[in-house]
Amino acid sequence: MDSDLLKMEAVCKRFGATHALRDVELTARSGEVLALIGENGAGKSTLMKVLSGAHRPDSGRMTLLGKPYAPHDAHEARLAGVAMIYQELNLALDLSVEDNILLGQERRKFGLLDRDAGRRIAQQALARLGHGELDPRTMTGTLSVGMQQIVEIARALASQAKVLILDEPTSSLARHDVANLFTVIRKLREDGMAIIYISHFLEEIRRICDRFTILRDGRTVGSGTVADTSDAQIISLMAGRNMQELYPQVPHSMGETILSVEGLSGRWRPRNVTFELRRGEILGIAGLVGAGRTELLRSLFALDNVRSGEIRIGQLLPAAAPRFRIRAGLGMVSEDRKREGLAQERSIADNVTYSHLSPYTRVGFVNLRRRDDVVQNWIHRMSIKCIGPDQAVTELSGGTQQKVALARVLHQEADVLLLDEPTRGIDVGTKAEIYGLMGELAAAGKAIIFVSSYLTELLAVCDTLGVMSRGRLVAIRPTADWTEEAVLTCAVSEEAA
Amino acid sequence: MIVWLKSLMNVARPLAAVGAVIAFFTLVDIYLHGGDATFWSKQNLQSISVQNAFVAICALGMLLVIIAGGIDLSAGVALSLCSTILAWGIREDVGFTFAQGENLAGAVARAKSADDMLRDLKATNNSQDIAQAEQAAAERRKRLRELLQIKLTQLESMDTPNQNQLTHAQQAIDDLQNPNSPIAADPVWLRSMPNSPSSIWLGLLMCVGAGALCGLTNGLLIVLLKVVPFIATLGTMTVFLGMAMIVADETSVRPSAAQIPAWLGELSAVRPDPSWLLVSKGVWLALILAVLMACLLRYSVFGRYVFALGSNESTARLCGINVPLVKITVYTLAGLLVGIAAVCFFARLNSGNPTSGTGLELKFIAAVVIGGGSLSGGRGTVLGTLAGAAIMGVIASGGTLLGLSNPTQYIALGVIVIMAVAVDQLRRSQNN
Repeated sequence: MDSDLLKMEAVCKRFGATHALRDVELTARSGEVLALIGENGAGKSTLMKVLSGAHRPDSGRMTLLGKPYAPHDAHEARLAGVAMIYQELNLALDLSVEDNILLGQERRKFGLLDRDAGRRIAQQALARLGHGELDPRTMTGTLSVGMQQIVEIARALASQAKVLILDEPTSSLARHDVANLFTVIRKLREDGMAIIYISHFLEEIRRICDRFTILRDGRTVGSGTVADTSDAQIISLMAGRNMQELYPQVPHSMGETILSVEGLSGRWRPRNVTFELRRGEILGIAGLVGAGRTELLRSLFALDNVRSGEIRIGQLLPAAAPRFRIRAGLGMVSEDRKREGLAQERSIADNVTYSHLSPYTRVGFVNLRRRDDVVQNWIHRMSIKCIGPDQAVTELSGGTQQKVALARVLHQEADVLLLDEPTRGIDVGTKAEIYGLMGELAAAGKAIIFVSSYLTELLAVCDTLGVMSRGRLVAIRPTADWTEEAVLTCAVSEEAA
Repeated sequence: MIVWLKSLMNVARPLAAVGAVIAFFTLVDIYLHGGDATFWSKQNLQSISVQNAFVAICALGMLLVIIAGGIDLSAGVALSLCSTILAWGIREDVGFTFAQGENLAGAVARAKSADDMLRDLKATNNSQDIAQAEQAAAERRKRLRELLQIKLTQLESMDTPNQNQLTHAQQAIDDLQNPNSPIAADPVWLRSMPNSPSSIWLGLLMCVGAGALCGLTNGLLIVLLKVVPFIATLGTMTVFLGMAMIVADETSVRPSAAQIPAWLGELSAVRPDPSWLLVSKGVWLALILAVLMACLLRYSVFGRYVFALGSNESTARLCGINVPLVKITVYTLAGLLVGIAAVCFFARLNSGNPTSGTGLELKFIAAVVIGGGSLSGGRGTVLGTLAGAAIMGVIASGGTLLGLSNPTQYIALGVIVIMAVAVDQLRRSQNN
């Protein structure tokens, strides 16, 4: 077919012993939006890096417009016509819109910068995106994230891109920005561009994409037309197992109230949040990026300063420092394992016991052997794949690291677990284990607050689901009363609030 | 088994590095000097070790700070501040001053100035003022005699009274009986007077206390004002320098030889007494402190927290570790070690010079880094740090012996610091 712009055939990429990509097949056609779907760790980012020239594939064939395509770096990829828009935008915020659009492809005249030609190109690109009104001399830093994204896309146009790759482009956008972005994407599709849209939001994919390709464990496991495929089919292809296996259900029931939060407000977020949590309850918190979900957990754990409000744990009103919250029975798993969750260079034993060394301590000194014995038990119980308690956390895989982080809050005997994106960036098998563990913990009378950006897992795992928007807890009710659509409507209801 | 082998390797590596450097210089020395080679001699090794004992002690403190993810640029100047304070305490005979309100040197100076005043007045012939001045001078002489009497009693009560000192003191008392005897500005007898026994203890307390206080100041600045350690200690570095200069009155503080107790000198004696100690007592002090530090780092809750803090401060906070308290303790302990090192430092120089420690902090940092410590925190060992200090000492001594100029030695040291870190990086990336 001559509408095939970019084709990948049997592309493989290995890092040491791990196959990041195995026989990946992908076709992006002119005038079409292709959804690239996959769990975290499925190989999407490696695929992008191969396309952008950051990694060379070990084997396989890539063709662009029928010619072999093997870029050495991002610049070469761009010159060939493949442009990539990452989640983290690549803009110089202190430069003007025009300078950003022309960055690396400035127009010259007699060796000097030809500003007039440059401005014309920038204006044309913006106009093509339906944003001719934007003055190219505006400082990029003063624009909203949504507009900055448009600037990046305009840069792609200015470099004559034929294939545009967007990596989870809506993850930090407000609703009207999303609508705006979709209008732009549709325009580009009509212009005959091929667009690869990476996401795991099924709702978005249905709105904007024509076809899909699903990656799992580095393999292409399916592709087809979006309209002809059901959500359940896509989910089971992504996960490689049916819903029952992915979300093991452990029966549990709710007991007395263990955490009550009244009018909690942080410096910026959260704003006036009130709710109660009972033993044996798994409370999910949904919302867009920036809605204040993480800040809510951090305020509860006293990692962020609180402006007002009351936090009661059991009968206690603990003072505002993480160590008092830990003593009162809170435990927190951070969303960022690298920068906050774990001391990467320290051992598993250290990371598991840092928050609760007292059982092994006498007059300020630690009985290391006794401690390591206990940690060995946890390694066994959580089936943490490692050499031993002394192994450094940094040598473990993402999923295994997450288990270490979970082992810590279990070891400190927390009654209320605050889990911030506990399944981010880990493999499907470990995810299922963690879901199962959450059920078991609830059955054992613990209470869990589960923050996630992945709505499907929240709906499958939680007893109660709250939705946050602009720092407020907009609604909270039993999960059975929610639908995916209702949650999304609620999450973008900031105008109403 | 593998773990056991790994820890054996960790012990062997720093020792092997020191051994290699020593072997290198020994061989070159033998090659150049043949039978006259002196590098591999008991005395030379003893002298290298004693010259670097204070570096090792300070480096132990620096190690603690660096593991916790900080840096202490003020350590070098704090070292000279502490040793200047100790020198001042000894020169001023602080124990005697504390008990009597003034010391002998002060009393001599005052008596002399009263005498001088009297002489000047006599020259102008002002009869009323003369009477007053005569009385003042007499009182000053009386006071000096009293103080001398007290000192004499102290001397007599010693286990082994020094006959020479006794006669000096007695002679001075007798001279003062005569109101017309002149008073010298710096009398010979004064220089032979030893201090009160309490003076050295008070001096040591002030010295070590000042070190701890310097560290505490650094810690509080870093924690309360949230200034990054580099800047905070860069600031306190000049503050401490200024303070040391005030203490030393912008020169250096030189107590007389008689004022310095003999055992203090033994801390820096090349040949230890008794000789079965092999190395000087100052070196043993450093080794004992090193063992204590190793235990603290490995087995104490505090040590675990220090590693947690240096490895990832956010994680430490997440785990409920009292981060400010740990930081303040880290800097205070490091300061305390600087205070202890200052005693050895003073023992080597027998004087307190406010600027003698300037730049030494880089040596302490280099010792930690050569020993495998990471300036980004979370990594470092006591054994490595000792080895680092030893390697620098061996290079300095060996370089001199081989006739390498000072500049060449500096260059060699710089190259070694960079090589050590590069090799360490390489090893780590291979492990990964």
